[in-house]
Amino acid sequence: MASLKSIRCKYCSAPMHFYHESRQIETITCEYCNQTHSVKENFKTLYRYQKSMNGVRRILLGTVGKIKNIEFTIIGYVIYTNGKAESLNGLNSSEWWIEYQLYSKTHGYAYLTYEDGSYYFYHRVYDLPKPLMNHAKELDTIYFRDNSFTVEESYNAYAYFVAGTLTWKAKVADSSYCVDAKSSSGWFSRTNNILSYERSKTEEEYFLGEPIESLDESFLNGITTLKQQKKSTKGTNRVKKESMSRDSKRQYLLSLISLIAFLVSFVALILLFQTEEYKIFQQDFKTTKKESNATFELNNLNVKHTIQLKANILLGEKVHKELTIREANSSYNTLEKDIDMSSKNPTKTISFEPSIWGKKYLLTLKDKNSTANTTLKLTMTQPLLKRYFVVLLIVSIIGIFLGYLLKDGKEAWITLLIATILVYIVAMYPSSFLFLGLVMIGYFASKLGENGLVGAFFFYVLIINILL
Amino acid sequence: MNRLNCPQCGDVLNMNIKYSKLTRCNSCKSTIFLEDDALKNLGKMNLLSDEPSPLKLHQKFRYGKQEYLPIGKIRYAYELGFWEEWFVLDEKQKPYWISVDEGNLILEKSFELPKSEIQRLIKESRLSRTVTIQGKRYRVTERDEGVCQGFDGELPRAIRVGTKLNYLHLSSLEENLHITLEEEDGEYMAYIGSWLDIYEMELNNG
Repeated sequence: MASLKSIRCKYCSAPMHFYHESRQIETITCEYCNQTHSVKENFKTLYRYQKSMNGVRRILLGTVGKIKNIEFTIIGYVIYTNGKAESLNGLNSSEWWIEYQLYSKTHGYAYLTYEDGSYYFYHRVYDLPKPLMNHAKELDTIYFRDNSFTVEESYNAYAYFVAGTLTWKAKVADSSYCVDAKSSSGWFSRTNNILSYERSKTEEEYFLGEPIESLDESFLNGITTLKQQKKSTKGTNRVKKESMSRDSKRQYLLSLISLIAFLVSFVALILLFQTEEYKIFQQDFKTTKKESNATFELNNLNVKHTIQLKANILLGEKVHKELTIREANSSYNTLEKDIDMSSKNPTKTISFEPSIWGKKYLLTLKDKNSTANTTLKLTMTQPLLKRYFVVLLIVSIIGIFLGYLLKDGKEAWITLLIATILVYIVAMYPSSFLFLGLVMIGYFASKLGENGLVGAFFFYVLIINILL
Repeated sequence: MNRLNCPQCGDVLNMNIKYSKLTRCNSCKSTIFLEDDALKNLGKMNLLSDEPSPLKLHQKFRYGKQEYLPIGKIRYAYELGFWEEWFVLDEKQKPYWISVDEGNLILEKSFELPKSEIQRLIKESRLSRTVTIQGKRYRVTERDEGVCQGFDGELPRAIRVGTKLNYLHLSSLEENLHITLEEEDGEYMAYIGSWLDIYEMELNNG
């Protein structure tokens, strides 16, 4: 345990504990009467908190645990709200958070933040990002060290409750302006770091944070409920189980989504090299008349894309036929017409672009100069990738949506969504690929940094492969 | 001078004479000062207690692409604790100082600033004021004094236990640039450098 030095509160005479000595400590707050004293001004009383904290769970002051394999002691904490509040009751879990002040003998001060069921570890940084975040707006890109960050939110944080020793004077209802930017994660790496800017009345500070996947057991065992000073073993076990279970569920879902994304990529990759065509229609077409009609349906036609129709004259001599294909419900929407066929050249491959919505098509066979019996074997095919493209698209969108709901790696999922839509557009209108590809690379390179550029380039190569 | 021996006990001294002027004999714990190529015994100084520190003497650490070797340290005390100044050499044997204070590490090297300018700044600068040094604006972030408690390893200058050190810390308003101005025993020194993120250091403390 940390070494203790005890002094008494000038207001209620209760003992107050220092968990370490430092010239950086500004205030100490009495755990019994909530009176805050200035350490640097001979323990002058500053202010007193009278907020109700019943039922709020927090880690006990003095708890020692490890983060990043470094031993830290919880020496104080501040509860913040994102608006002036008289009580935490009625606020939802994302509207207030606890910021623990940590101290390590080797690493100095750091912060552990608990918000909405998750823990984050922050430490102050003195190198500055570009541009500075004091005027940053949502979705702005910030460059810090070798990473790019996207501004997620800006808000005012109001101190609601203060405990223990702090390196700054946190006064109830005092507010600081904060801007949070999250590192732009790509498909190949996800750091999920947070760069946080904080401006108070006296200074501007930057903090670098990262999520803690599983909090050290010593800290979890130190969790207790305010106004209930004795540690309850049962209670802490429950908290631990709840916390672990929430974390593991989240991890499980994230793993599942990652698996889906990998499977989609894997299937797409197989289909990319799969040249075998998928048969969507086959019919023997017999005619003994000068003009014959046949209706065929294109079921499961997913994408407006070129379809290959192979017509093969199986029977008949000296024939000279003319094929016309048009939508069955439209007399004027002719897709292909006047396709000459003859016995000298019995096989014809006709490419046409059917409408996505027109499922029934009319095929007319006209005799030009012969009335000989003719049998045509019609085989309509579609490349495999085109056929399953929409299925892949839907799976991707489901994954994207789930990823978005989990608010984890949001940028990566949005990137994937945009890239998928672009692939879809290019698949329908191939000529747009050059322009869209270049725009996409430019956009991701500027917005998402290195990972976005890699991702964009990957999709660009994929598009070119599909088209070539 | 290939080999240096302790004038007190005769044991071999591990001393990098290019930079080191002060060292401690591992055998008899005498403090040895190198003056005009002659060794002078300064007697025994206070041994420093072994306090937790991210740096360890003679254990290399890496920061970014650069590797550093700490070869000496001075400890200064102030009202509620202490901080340490570590003397380190980079891979090209260039000397630097790393100030270690409660997890805050600043890597600095000495830079030229007229004595009168250092004197004026230490005397006149007040906390939170902005001053201009060599065309750049700095904010005074700390102004205090410490008392030398002792040293360990090798140092490039002689120190005396109990000496007061007046110092001024200044941070650039535009970039990660820090200046330390010091006055110790009538000598004035200026250092410039940048803050190191301790979580980015590859420490070999095993």
